[in-house]
Amino acid sequence: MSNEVLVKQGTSKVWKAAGGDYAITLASIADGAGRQGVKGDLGEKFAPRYAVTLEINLDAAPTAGKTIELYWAASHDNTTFPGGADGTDAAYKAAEEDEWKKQLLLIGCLVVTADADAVVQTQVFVFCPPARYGAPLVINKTGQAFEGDNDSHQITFTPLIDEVQ
Amino acid sequence: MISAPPQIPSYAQGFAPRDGPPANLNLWTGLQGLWVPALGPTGVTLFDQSPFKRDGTLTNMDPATAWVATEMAWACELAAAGNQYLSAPVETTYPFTLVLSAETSIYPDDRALFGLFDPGVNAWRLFTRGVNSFRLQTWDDGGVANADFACTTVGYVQFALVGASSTDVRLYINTAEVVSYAPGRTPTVNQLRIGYNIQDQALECSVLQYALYNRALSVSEIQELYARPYALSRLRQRVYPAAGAASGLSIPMAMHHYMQMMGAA
Repeated sequence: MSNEVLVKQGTSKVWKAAGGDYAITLASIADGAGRQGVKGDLGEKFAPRYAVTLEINLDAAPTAGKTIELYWAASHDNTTFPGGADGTDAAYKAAEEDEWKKQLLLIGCLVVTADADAVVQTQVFVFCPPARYGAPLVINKTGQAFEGDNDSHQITFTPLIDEVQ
Repeated sequence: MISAPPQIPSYAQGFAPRDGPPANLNLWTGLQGLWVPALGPTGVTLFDQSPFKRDGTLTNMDPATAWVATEMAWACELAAAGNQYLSAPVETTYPFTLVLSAETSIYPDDRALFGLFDPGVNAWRLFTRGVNSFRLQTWDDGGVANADFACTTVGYVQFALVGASSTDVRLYINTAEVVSYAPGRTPTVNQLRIGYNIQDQALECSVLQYALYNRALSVSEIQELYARPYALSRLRQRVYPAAGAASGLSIPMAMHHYMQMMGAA
């Protein structure tokens, strides 16, 4: 009789400017601005939960406690996306971010410390995607711009797979 | 049954997305806004978890110090200085219910718990006017009606203001009715402010959750919210019926139940 259900990590999918599975260019994103990533495929059979890790460093030290908002634009067909996302690596709804983001799924907010680019700010969330396809979106609410290179900025989706023992 | 240890919903632990079903569908009925600092820090924005998405704002508050970890969960801490309050846009008249869950330890004089306002005089508001002495006020263009009471209940406290009509306004603290009166006033308001009362400073407290309804909640619903303060959210927890003899369920059936729990089936 089965008596344990353990969790194993699957293979991560990474959004970053170059060298990841999908592209998202987060360099120099200004305070208040947003960026959307290329649409990704979590697989025909995707995990019910993902550990989502957001890593960003900032050009200058922000006020501690401010946030970077991370959203998900889910799609069942890889064509139709909510919140005005279009599945490309592009600026997101300039000056209308706060209006359009309400159609997206909030994954979580990275709460920043008062540290500049030498520190990569990192936070992990648990997220349950409702559909196979989707794209991440980041909105900068820190009061400072993201660092100007793409060395550290990335979003990692790691499947959390339950395994009945 | 094998189940995960009890945990409260949070961004870190996972919870149903904003458009997903809550743990208690009946308590979702008529919900006009749900703000849950207990889910975790979100800077100066307090996201509305209801479908209306009336996101609120931490006003005159420092996000570096306003978010605190209490013994219950994360919370927004209001200080009695600097005109701090949590605001959100709403549209309300009778019937309505406002439910506020917070941790408090003291009720000094001249402190504000909450108010529903418009730019003019229309308002429902609750504030102290002496140590442990409260006033509930209902105010419209025609005048003001007060109801005074005393309260010494501290710790985890739930305040539920139920406005069924201009002749039936009640206030519950935890599950006990402390005010029942007929103000004869009919405000219409467009702002909800926790910790604001025009001239008073906020009551020092840690705000865990507050919700606004467009209906009068029943006593049993208020009792249920007090007993299960996170019934309006839903933790993404694993619940596996035991495969085999205990439940008679096969592993595939157990997984089916699991997927239903996850809302991902």
